[in-house]
Amino acid sequence: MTRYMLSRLAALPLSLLVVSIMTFSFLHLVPGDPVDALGGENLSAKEEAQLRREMGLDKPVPVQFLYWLSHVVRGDLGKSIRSNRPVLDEVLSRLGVSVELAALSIIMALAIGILGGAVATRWRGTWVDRSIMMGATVGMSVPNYFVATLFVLFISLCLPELGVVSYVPASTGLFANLSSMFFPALALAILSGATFCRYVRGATEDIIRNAEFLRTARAKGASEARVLFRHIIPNSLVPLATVAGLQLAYLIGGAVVIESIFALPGLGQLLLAAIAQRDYPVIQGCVLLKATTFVIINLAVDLLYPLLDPRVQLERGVR
Amino acid sequence: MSSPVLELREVSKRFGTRKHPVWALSGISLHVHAGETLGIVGESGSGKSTVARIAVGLELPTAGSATVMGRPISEVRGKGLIQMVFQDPSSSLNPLLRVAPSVREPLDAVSAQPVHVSQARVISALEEVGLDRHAGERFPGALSGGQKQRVSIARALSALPPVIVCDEAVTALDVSIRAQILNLLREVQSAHATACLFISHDLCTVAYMSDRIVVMYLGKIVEVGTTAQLLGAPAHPYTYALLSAVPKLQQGRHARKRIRLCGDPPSVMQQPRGCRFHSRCPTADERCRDEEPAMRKLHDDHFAACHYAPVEESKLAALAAAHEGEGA
Amino acid sequence: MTAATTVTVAAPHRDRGGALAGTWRFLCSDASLVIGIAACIAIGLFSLGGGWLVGLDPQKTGPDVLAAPSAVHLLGTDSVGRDVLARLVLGARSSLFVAVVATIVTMVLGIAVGMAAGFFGRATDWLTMRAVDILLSIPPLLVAITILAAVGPSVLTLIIVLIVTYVPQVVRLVRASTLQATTRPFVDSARISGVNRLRIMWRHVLPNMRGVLIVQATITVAHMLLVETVLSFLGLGVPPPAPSLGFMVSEGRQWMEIAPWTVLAPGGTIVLIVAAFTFLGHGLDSALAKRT
Repeated sequence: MTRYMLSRLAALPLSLLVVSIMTFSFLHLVPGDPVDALGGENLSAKEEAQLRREMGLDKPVPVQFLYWLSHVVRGDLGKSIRSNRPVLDEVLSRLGVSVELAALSIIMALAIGILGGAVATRWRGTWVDRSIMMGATVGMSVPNYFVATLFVLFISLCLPELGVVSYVPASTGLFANLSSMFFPALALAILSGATFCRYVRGATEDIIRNAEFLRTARAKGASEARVLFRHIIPNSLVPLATVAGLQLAYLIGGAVVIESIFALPGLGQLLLAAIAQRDYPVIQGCVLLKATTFVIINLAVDLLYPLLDPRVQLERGVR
Repeated sequence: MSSPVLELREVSKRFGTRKHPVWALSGISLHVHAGETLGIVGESGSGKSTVARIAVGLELPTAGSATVMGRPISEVRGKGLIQMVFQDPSSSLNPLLRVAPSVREPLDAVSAQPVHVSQARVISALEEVGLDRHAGERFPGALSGGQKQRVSIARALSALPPVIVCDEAVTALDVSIRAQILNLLREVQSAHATACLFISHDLCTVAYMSDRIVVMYLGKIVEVGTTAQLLGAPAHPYTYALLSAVPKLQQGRHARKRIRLCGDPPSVMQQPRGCRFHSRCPTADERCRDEEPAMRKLHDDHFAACHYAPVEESKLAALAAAHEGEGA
Repeated sequence: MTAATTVTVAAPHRDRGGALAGTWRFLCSDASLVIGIAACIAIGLFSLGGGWLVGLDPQKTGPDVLAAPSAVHLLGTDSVGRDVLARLVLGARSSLFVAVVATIVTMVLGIAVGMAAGFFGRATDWLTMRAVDILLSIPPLLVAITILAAVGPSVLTLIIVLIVTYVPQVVRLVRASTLQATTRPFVDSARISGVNRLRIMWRHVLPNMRGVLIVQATITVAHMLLVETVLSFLGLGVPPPAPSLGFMVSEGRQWMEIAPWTVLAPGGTIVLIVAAFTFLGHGLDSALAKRT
């Protein structure tokens, strides 16, 4: 187990390297660079060239990359071109918000998904099942910015005491913090929750169709609910784990749109602004972080599998 | 004696990687003449399906040569020289194609003939396997297992190949239908003097169909001979065990003492040293453990790979009973 | 000849109406499918013929600003007096156009590459899958936003960006299906007969993947629609003054409290369009599963 984990972690630097190279090449391939974003037409060609030299943008791309890489290895992610603050600071200051939002939203989504899937399974084949599944289909079709906008409307009309919707850091008060995050997380959770719900229901359907062991359990006299919760649901969680993991990884990287609507100072906002300004160091840093979280979460999910399903073996050993 | 239509010489097949090889076949040599049926019998892991796939050109041997009419099989694909009938009737036919186009496929691949010629050939092939004229227009989904297998046979025969390979062709069919299909195979074979490689794990079926039989174990041939020789005077302990396992009713007057083999068949991935059968053989001794037996000629056409073949029946039975008693 | 008496195979009486009746029954076999088809047809009609039906010019500004829905303006007007409903029709049309065109190209490319990878195996497969893995590890929205921010949004750029984002997924799916399909004996039979590889793919492999492919296509349209509206919400969609649903939501947010229809109408339309395709995809999936 540990050996497996270590070997997976060992692969991490390589994949990060590949992603960084790709992002770097991509950024430099696309027309425009930070200097364009900074000055626009206000700078003369000479001043622009000067700036480029200062920023090291006149050097060949591979050299720029190696330069960046050599700093990263020492823990220095460079400075934001926009704000002049170290990238690491910028990222870390916003990481908490994004992680909190992601975590809350995934928890809500899992609750919605598992509950919905379980209820639908319990009343399998009836109108309850069909309506829940159709509801999930609709839920998957609603863009999160629309939900978010509706929430904002709802809040301003029905809960005016919540005041201007804005972020309250945890340091000020945990309750205030959570209530300010509630609606953003819910907005994100609806789409994921609907997807999870369908996944769970699909998995339970497969299980019910194929599993002989259910007959044994029922024959022993177990009640419907017991059968459901002891056997069917836990088994349906396995495919869900992968999807949920992916979703979590994606969200941690910053939910761009939701953050902008609810004015949350998260990574998504940072990244969006950085892209608009061609703030290369920040973009590289964010992508690096995203990729790292992605790999780590994937690994965590893989490690979780054997717990969920004892038949799964991690290593390709001799059977 | 005319030259064989299908011949495998010292064929070996390795799957897996160099570091973890799985030798499905080791040094297999066999030959089939025109009009003859050679049966291959063996349990799972014996390599018989691999032999089938090499014989039709779906796999290439890692070592050794496989030829049809003297030409390497890899060259011969698409020339209508060899065809196969598969085990599962349901997945042997493209469910989206009607029967006639499926049957016509080998024919079209061989040579572009005018449509009416190939149509006529398809109809006669279908008639030959006992299906009526409407069969060609139906989709496989509308046919029963037996009917589908007849279509597979019609397809195999449509280009009139000199060799066909039947890999567990009746295993998936209801027992009541099996006899019909087996008889059908025998008839069409004799009608066209087709050579046939008939593969199955069921010794009775193989014996019914074949002129000569090859017994395989873990990728090697352990005994080969005519059907009469193998049934009447089995030389290798494994053959004997297989025969004795056939229910007594079927054995009739020649009922044998049952030889139960102890232990599980070893995995193909961890092949024992020496004789591959020694771990389950009641008569195995030191020599069997260390030295791999070569194929020895016992009579004309009858060969066995065992140091002590032919073993006396009573001795074998006694030893087997003793082993059982030890609770091995 | 004792070929066990000729076995009679029942004549293929064009069972109860034939192919057409069979298709109709299939289409009615699942509730979601029926809803999906009806909704897609409705949306198709709406986006193509709606403008004519509504009769108002979507670009015509007027003094009647932020007017509530009325007999004249069925869904009200926006902040510069343009009729919302008419703009919805155009917006729906452009979003659908982008999503459908992008999906068609994505499916064709994905099928070609995926089948090649699954069928030709070894090197082709390995290369393709590594490329897919790498492409999938890059956050898609990021790529889309960057390209659009840099190059400037346009219909063509949008389509290209969507294609690049979704091709890897389709390739992966097609490859998996191809691998599964090629293990079936009738493919082996064709190989033994020496049928040319391309013909095998075309005749035996591809048709047996139809169900999977169609479902994937509809789901891809739904996803692309969503992404396109997100991008246009961020201002990176089809450039104004052409109406674009996501952007209309974004604009409408400012006036949300006094004129909620400016947000609800485009938002609701987006939900309806995406839901139509999602229902279609889920319905097809269920109906196909029921058939086996």
